[in-house]
Amino acid sequence: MAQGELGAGRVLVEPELIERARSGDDAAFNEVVRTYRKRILGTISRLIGRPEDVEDVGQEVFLRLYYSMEQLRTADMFEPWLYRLTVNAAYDYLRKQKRKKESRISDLSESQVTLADAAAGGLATQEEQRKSGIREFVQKLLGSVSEEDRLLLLMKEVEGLSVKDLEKVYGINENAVKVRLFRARQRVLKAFEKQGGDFPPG
Amino acid sequence: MMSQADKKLDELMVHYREACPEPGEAMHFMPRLWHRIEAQRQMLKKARGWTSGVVTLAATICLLLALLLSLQSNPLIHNYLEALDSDQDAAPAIEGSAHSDAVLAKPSGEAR
Repeated sequence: MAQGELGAGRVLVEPELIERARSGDDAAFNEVVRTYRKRILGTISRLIGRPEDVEDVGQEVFLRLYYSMEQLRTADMFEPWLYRLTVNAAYDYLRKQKRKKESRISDLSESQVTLADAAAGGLATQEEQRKSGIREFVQKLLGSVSEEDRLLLLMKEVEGLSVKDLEKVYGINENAVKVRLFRARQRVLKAFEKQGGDFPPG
Repeated sequence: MMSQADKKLDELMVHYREACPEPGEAMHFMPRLWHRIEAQRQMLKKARGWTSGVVTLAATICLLLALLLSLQSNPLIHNYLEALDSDQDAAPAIEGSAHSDAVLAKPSGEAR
C-alpha cells in the first residue's frame, strides 16, 4: 500500500492535483471534491447512520477541507487528512444530535418513519424496511460506547481501515488504537449478547 | 479464538455496510458547496475589514494621545520648574512659621 493510501482503496487523484488545489487553484479543488465525493459520502452514511443528513455532513467536510488545504504538509498525507476531517465532522454531528431536542417526527425510530412512509405512499419495500431495521439495530448497539469509540470502531469494522491507517487518521500510536478498539468492541459485544446475540428480525 | 457472538457481530457489520445506502448523484452538491465557500470567504473578508478598521482606529487614537501628551509635556515641565522655583523663594518665609517654631522647639523641650 502506498504511503497516503488508506484501506478504502487506491488514492484516487494524482499528487500534482492535490498540490494545485493546495496552492489555491479552485478548478483543481473542484476536481478533488468530484473525485472523492462519493467515497466520503458513503463513509459518512455508515458513520452517522442517517441517510437524510449525509449530504449536509459531507458539505461540512469539503468546506473544512477547502479552508485547511494550506495546513496539509504533503500530498501524501491527503487521504488520512480527508478521513480525519470526515471523522471530526461526523463526531460533531453525533454530538449535536445528542444535544438537540428531537422534533416530533424524529422521536419516531427510523423504521417507524419508514413504516409511516410506507403507509402514506406505499413506497418502502420490504427490503428497505429490513435495511433500516439493521441500521437502527446497529446504531442502538453502538449507543453503548462513546461517540469517539463508535466512530473508531466503524472505521475499523465497517470501513475496513487497518490499525496502521487509523494511527495516521487519528494521530495516536498503534497501541492506543488497539486498546481503544478492543474496549469498544467488548462493550458493543456485550450489548449485542444482551440483545440475544443475533440479527434483528427482518 | 472467536466466540459465536464475535462472528455474528462481524457478520452484522457486513450487513450494516450493505444496509447503508450508497450516495446517489447529488446534482446540487457542487453548487451548494461553492456557495458555502463563497459565503464563508465573504464573511472572512468582512471580519478582516473590521479587524483592520479597529486596528487603524486604535493606532490613530494612540497617535493622537501621544501627540496631545507631547504638546502638554513642555508646559507641565515649565510649570513644575516654576513651582520649584517659587517653593525655593518661599522657603525662608516658612522658617518663621508657627509649625517650624514648634519643630525646632521640641528637641530643647525633651532635653529638659
